[in-house]
Amino acid sequence: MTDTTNPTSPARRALAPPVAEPTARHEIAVEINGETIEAEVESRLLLTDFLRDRVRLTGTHIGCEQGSCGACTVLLDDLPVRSCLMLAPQVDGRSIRTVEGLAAPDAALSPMQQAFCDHHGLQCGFCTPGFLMTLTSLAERETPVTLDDLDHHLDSSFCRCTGYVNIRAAARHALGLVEPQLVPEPMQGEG
Amino acid sequence: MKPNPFDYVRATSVDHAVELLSSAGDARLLAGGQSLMPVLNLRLGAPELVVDISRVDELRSLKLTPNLRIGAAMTQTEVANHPDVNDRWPMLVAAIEQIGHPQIRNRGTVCGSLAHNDPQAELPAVAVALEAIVIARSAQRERSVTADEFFQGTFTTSLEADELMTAVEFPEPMPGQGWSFREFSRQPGDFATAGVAAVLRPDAGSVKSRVVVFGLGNGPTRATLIEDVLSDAAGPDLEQSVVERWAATLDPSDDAHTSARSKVQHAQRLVIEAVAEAWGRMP
Repeated sequence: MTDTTNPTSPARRALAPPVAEPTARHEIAVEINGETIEAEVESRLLLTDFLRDRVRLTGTHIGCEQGSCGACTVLLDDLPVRSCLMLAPQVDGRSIRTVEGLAAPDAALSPMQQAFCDHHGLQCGFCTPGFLMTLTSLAERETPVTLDDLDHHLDSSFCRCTGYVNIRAAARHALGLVEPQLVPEPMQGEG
Repeated sequence: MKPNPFDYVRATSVDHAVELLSSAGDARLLAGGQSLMPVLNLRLGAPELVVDISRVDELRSLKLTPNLRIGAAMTQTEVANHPDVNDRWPMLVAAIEQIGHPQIRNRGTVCGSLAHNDPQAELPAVAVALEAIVIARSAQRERSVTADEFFQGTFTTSLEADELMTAVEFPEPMPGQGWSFREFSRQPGDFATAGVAAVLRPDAGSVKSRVVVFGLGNGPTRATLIEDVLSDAAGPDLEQSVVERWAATLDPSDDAHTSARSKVQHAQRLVIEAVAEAWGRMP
């Protein structure tokens, strides 16, 4: 029982009405890893949640949900985008590729995945799908890729294991980029 | 965090979009979503209706007239990759390359960044430096606004609630124009701690300039004191006393990462460097 004589006790108040669910739902048809998926989605459903909870492709990870960390990166019409910053109804009629679509149907890894394997490019693996999708788009780019381009793209994802050295080595090998050799200065004779 | 519930409608034309915009009490436009979606995800905003303009054909255009007219649904990547833009508006491309990461620029739009007017964003400063014109449409009328009048302080522009910014127009570069875009950020892809967009050109024996700083609290701000000194300057080197006099007019606040004093120091250095670089690019 609430002691109504106690001035510090919370006042009884009417509950707010339940949050109104939106009436708008959308029929979408989207190509995901080559397969056409049709679904009814709520307006506010994030693309990340659509992929994970509705399509059951849980390889796309959710990190920050504000576009900073890069874990949710997918390819939209072959360009890398943050799937946490898109709504599911926005991808109607478009094509999405996720990490599940990288390996060949016979389960052979893609060259970028194989390079991550060979060079120990992952530790806990949380950031890996985002890195793989970003770097796959770089590998598929028509214009030549430089080491600067690679580093610029590596900036765009967080690896909290701080395994960037191996991620960079993996990507460098998959992209065929050679690190410039540092030539030591000749020793200066004294006197 | 997930957004509050809202209705979503994909607009099919500009007329449709402005009609939708005035149909709900609180409707928000979604172009690239790289600013709006974090706001929705963090529940800093809870609109009733989200109007998606990203696939409106009329807004998916980039025209050279010879001015550069960029439609509201053109992404930063699309604009920066256009060869004519790189040739004639290199400052715009240099600034776009400083925005976030490739994934952000693949969705984020030039017009969206201007309409959002984040005080730390690059493109509002570029729009002021290059004397851009914003074109806005409501159900009743279309109007043009100069960049000087458009930006009105932190996250605030002269756009009315029922108006859609349909395009931004960058004038053809003036002959002999030199430019520089410089910013300091704590790590690549971050918003700028401080930045400068500078445009200089010879004009009948004197130098006309626009030196615009951003990141210091109020969005793009012209350094008029520096511009006045440059008008009859014989060279690019600014006197330390002038820079200090200008710096005393700045009033940024401390934030979690950078003290106000440090921001002012960055701004001083960036202005000196930007003026020297822009001067060097005048033929």
